[in-house]
Amino acid sequence: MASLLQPPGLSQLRGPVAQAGDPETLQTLVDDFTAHNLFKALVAIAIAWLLVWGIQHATNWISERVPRRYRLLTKQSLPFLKGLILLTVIAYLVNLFVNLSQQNLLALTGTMAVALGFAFKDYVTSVIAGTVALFEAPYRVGDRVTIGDHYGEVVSYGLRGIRLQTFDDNTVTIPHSKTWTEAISNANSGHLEAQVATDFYFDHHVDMETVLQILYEAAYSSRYTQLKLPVTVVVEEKPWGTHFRLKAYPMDARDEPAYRTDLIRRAKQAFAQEKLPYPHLPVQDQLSQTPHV
Amino acid sequence: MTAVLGDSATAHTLTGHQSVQWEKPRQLSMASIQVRSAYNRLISWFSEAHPTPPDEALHGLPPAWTLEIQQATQSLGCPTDYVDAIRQALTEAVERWQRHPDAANSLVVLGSPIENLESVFHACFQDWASPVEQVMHPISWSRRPNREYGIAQPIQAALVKRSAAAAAQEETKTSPLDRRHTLVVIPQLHQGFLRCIRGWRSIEWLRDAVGQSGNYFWLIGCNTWAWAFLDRVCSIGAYFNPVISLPPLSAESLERWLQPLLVPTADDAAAPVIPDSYWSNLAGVGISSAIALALWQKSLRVKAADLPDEQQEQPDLRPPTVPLHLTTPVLPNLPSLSAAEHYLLQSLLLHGGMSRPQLVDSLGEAVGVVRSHIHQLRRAGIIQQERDWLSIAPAHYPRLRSELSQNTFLVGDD
Repeated sequence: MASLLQPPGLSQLRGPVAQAGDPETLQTLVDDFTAHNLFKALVAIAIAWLLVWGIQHATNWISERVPRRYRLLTKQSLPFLKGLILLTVIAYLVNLFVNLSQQNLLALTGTMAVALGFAFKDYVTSVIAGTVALFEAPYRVGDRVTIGDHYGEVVSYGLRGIRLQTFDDNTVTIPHSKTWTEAISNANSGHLEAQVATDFYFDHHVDMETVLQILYEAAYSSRYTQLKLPVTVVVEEKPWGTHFRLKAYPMDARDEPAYRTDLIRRAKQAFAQEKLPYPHLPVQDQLSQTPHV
Repeated sequence: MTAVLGDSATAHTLTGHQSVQWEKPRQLSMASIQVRSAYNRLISWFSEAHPTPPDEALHGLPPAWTLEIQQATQSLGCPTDYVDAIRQALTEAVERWQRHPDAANSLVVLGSPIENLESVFHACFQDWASPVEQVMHPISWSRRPNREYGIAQPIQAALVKRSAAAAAQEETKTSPLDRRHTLVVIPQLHQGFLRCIRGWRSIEWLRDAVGQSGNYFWLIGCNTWAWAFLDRVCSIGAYFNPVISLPPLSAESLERWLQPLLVPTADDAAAPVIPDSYWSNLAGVGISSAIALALWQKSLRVKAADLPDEQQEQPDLRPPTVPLHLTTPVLPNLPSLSAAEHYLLQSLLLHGGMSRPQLVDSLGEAVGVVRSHIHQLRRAGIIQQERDWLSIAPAHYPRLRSELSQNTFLVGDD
């Protein structure tokens, strides 16, 4: 009964860790650590590095040249290909140097668990999170995501983290481990189009029909608009005015800043011609009513 | 496929000046045409330019000859298949409208953006046994209607003018069906709007006006891209019925249509005719008459020995009678196009051609930027300019359509 109350696995770990420290066991664990094998390992690593480099560049090159419809599809294959290469080369190296008997495997994993637990905990957490994220796909290469305070396009999917390209052309590296703790907002989820919401504000007395017509025409007349997807306008009343939110999709999510600018420019030209009243903030009214001293 | 194809077999005279000599083609089956079509589609996915291998034996025509051939093709008219299809549909629709009070009072004819629907409509009304007494053309399409008023103002003015004159005569007619004898023709609806704010309000007016004016029958022509766009922005498709498309041209139709340009010479009268594969090949790559004509012109070649000296090559000199050779017609390759150029080309296809200021208005882009793109596209031969009018070169249309479609643009259903 006493042995059943012990934490499971502890007794199992104790043995292999002790064995890993035993010189005789180490000789059987490490298999043929020779100059020839070392050379083969270096060649394998070099080939893997070249393959990863080549695939990364080829994928980027192809994705920027194929029609827009296939761009994300091409880019999304990159993490899988990189993972495949890394897995293959790791398996090769382990097979080259380690004698993987059942006992040695236990010893090795036990040793690694202890070492990684203390030294590389965060790194391993990110690697595992990245592997999980590969299947759960909260973000993919080419998606426009918001993680924390950062919004941008996922341009790279690495072993430890992703890289976001923001509107300000900054590159932000975010570890995969954020997927455990942070909310991730994905604007397009693997699609080429991402909805863009543009806000407009008017006085309570504005002619709603005129504003709605201009906003719909602004969206449909913009060259960036994906005409195959719907355009909608949502109206909300605020204490200080009426809030119109124009929701439409650009053909390419990358065009989001240019698209929003184009919509605002077109709409404001028409608003000016119609002389539509903009809202007055209460503080402005108070200031205008204050008598000059 | 533009390579020299073997021994010459026959000779024809082109408009009395040059003779067209057929170079015997490889035996082309329908399967090989389909394979080539699939290959072309695959290539068009990538916008990289692939240079056509130079033809060693045959050369392109000198500019003076090309100009003369273009002038000859202008007198060709439009294919009879187009005229027959429109006449038949129009006669049936008008007669139905004149017999049934609730029948539709419109017919829409769709064509590709590089097709000149005005000239097709013009050909339809020549020698037509019209079931209506009056055919009205309220708008002159020599230039695009005013942006602010669009097509609403001239149509309203023409209908008011006509009503005043016809009101006295119609007062005596008791049956509403007896008043149905006026046909209003709008051959280029795509010229009646501009993609900008307030740019298609006159189309919305027309859409409502057609439904309310049961005493008029409306024949409307529009390119497929503009129709798809207008259907998205103002649901125009729900208001018009029936809608027909220009029929695809068969090999026989193309041969019959282009035959006036291919007159056999006396010494070659007994020579075999041009093989059907040429025409079937032309029909396979060209979806409309404008494309087929452009490809036919591009397939004309001349042997180096028959080329005139440089001194003789002047526009005012009539070229000597030399045999011209027909090579297999192929679609020209597209160069690599940027996203900005895609937007510009889509705008031109949507409106079926326009001037530079209108293009700038439509794109909402800086004048200088638009001008530089136009310059590059004209140099690549994709855009053609006649006076201040910009349009797409017909031979480039099929691949351009495919490329824009692959880049998720809303394209017309040709």
